[in-house]
Amino acid sequence: MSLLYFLPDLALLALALAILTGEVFLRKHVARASFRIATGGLIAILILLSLFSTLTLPLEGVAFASYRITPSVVLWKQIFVLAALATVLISSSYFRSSGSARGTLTRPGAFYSLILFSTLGMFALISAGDALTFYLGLELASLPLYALSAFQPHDSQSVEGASKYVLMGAFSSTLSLFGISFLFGAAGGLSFESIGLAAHANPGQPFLHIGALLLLGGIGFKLSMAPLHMWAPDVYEGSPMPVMAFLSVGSKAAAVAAMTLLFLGPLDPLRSGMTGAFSLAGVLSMVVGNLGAMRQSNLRRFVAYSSIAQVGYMLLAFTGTAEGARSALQYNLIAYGATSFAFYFVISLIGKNRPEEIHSLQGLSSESPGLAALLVLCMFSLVGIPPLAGFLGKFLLFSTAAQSGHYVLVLIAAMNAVISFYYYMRLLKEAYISKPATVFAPIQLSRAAQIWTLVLAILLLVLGTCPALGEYIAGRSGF
Amino acid sequence: MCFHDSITSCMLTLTWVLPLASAAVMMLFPKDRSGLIRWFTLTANGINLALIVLLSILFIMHPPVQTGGTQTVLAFSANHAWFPLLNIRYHIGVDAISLSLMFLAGVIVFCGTLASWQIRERTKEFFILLQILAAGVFGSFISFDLFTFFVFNELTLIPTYLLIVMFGSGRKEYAAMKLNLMLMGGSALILVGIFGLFFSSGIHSFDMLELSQIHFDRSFQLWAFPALFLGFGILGNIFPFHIWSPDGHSSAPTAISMFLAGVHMKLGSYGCLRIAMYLLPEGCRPWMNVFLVLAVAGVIWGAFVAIKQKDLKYMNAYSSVSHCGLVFLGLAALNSIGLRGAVMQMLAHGFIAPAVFCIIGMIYTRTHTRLIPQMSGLMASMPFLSVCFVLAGFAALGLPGMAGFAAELNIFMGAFGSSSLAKVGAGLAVLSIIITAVYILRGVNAVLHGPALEGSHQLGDATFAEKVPLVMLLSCILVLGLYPGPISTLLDHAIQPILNNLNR
Repeated sequence: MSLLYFLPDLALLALALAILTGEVFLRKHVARASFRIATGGLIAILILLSLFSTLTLPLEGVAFASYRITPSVVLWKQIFVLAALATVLISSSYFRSSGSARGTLTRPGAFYSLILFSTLGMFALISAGDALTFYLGLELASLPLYALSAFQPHDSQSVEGASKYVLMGAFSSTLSLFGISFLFGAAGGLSFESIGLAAHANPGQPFLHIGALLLLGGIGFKLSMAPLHMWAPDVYEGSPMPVMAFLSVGSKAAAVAAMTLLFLGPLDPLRSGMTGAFSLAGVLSMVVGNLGAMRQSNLRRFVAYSSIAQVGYMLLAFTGTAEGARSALQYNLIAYGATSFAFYFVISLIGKNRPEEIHSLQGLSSESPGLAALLVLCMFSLVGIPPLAGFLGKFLLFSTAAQSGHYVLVLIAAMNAVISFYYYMRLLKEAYISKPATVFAPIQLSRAAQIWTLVLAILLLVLGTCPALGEYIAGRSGF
Repeated sequence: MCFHDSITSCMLTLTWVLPLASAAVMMLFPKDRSGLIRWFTLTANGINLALIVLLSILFIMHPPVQTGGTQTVLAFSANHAWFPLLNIRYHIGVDAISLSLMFLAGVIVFCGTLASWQIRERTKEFFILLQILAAGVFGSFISFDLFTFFVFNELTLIPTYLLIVMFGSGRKEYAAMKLNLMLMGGSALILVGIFGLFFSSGIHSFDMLELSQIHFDRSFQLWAFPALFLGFGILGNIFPFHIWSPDGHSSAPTAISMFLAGVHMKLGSYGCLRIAMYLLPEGCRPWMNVFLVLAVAGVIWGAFVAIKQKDLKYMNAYSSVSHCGLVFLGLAALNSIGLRGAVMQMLAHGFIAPAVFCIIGMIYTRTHTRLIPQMSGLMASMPFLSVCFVLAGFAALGLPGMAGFAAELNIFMGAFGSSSLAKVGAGLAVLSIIITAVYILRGVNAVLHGPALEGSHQLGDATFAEKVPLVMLLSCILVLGLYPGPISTLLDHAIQPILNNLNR
């Protein structure tokens, strides 16, 4: 009976395999079909997850060997599926011949199945009950991304970014593995239960702290947390646009989930001693991201630095209480993901026949007022100004830090948000007041794109003003 | 006339929903129908003003009876859960202070719409953003939940930035960025203060009225008060954090200068009074001396710098620094006369500064210059505008019978009746009246009198659409100045709970 709860994971595996084999055997007809199967399958899995979590799953969850499912885990999986779904949706135009100025993608089957395998890795990671499953999940989530970031093998930029990503990714994996070995040494077991017991019994154990710090580094790399962020701008710039989208939202969500799993789980007793590390990494990420983003002219690199800064705010939550931090992070990830995808949607339309540079936005407000208005909402949401999604996400993050009395940290973070206003507004300046220096082909929105613009704009406003999602999260992750 | 409570509270909600809804409707209008857009905005803002006047009449007929305790009794209140997770509520209502500021905002938005009649490019965007800005301010004044207040307050940032960047003049990008960065810096301080109030209260509440009953730790109050007071003070134009306002107000288009100087800035001083001083009385007393010094410095500095200005808009903006300093001086007096004076000065400056900005804008559309040395003898060609300019100028320098005098008198009386430091401060600040007279009279003299410039007789006087806002603003100034009795009585009632809390 309890095996039924693993149906979403199994369905995801089946879906990934089906699309992969489909491409091998039915090469000619699968281009559109694989997109439809991936979309439909992901929606089905999302529905399945929602059904399980609302109907039958007990609050304390169920476990099968070292694979656990709790309401909070289901919620994380929903977030991963949403990220994968959004990636699939945004990627469809990149397989068409006029999809992007950077060249067309080929082999959709391989592409979608890699996205799905990576999502499966995230599923395994968040369900893990011991450090080994955790590590396997982390690797399964990462390996497809290495391949995906090199998905345009004839584009030297893509290859350069990918090789950097692989090398540094391997390094980060060793960090995680090394950290796990320290935890094993200190706890005498690999299950999170035994590690948790050891941490609870002796929170000052130096080996535990070394292991925790190494794991923070290993996962922090995936999170592009400063000072381990160096790969992000190059990989974001080099990889195909949908891959960048998945890296910056899906992969980031998985890394945050991994951190909550460890640091709000078995390693929770160590956290009070690690406040300094979290604060330092958080503040450093904000500062590095903000300073870096100011000088970029390429939209992708801009996104990379801006996402590094956003990671900084998220790290703040780890100085707060466990339940509050988990829900705040989940809400913030959804808000940040929605805002990011809305922003990528704008970039993808710009990138159809223009270089992905900031100056390509010139004249957007007169060519397409609706798209420009969506860009305004995205930018203000990323700064964190109400009544937009990003505000509520940041507000919850800051409130968890404030609850533990870290008011100075909150002030630093809020001041960083103020600084970020400066560079986010550069984009609006280009869109609204700069006169176009070069003449590009005009941007034309199809009927579908117009509807998407409206939907995304409403979504950003709803996520910032409507309490329903917050209640949903709090009901599953506690507050 | 008797209205059910739920109807009046809905009307109060409508004051911010109406501008926002009108903005949403305007998004559907074709962008070349600028006439339609203008009339639509004017109608919406006219209805809103009528709504506020109606609420004010209801309020005056049945003012809420303050119980003499420390908790403000609200009129037209409503209280609904918004985010139950963090105990965030949509708690609205008004007392005399917020209702009078609502009236001010209603008048300024209406006049600002008329003053923007000549905007020809991107009319649609302009009025949509103006309405969002207005919605933010109306929402802030009626909110008695800290979170809701903060959200509405921040909502004003988006349109402010875009309006200055898209429709401004001069160094508009620099000015808009400076304005927004400084105001957001203030918001960051406010945010920390709000979190502090929420978590230190022990009841996990953002409700101002509930929080006003909590006795916070002295050590907490000592750091939270300056954070909140300074955060709001930046918006309220406190020296030396006023540096955003001269550039921002001068670069903004006329209606936005009017709105920012007249209403938006009042949100800052209102927050200082309603949130920082009301909720943290123990932090207030030791820190107030610091802010008293800053207030006096602002009064004198603003006035002196205004003398040096050649640009009329900059002159008025620095004059605002000086007059907003007086608001803080009134607050720092910490007695009923001083606080009453501070609120009256908010209203007085709220009518006077927009009137002057409005006239400057109208002169600029004719002469295409705002520089004092380039203008002369305008009295001959535009008598109506000139008379209005003289009247508004007199109001600014505190001539008896005008709103400015009534407010300043209260402030100085309050300060002289307060601590010895306040007495010294008031003594110094009184001197600013003379300096104000210098720059106002010199400005008026140089612009209006002297030989008429060549070709200036063709410039033409104010049109009907331009006369309406000027007459409205000047009559408000005169009514407030000639007959301040009723409003000061109402304000006294509203100030009493705050004062009781301060003296607790």
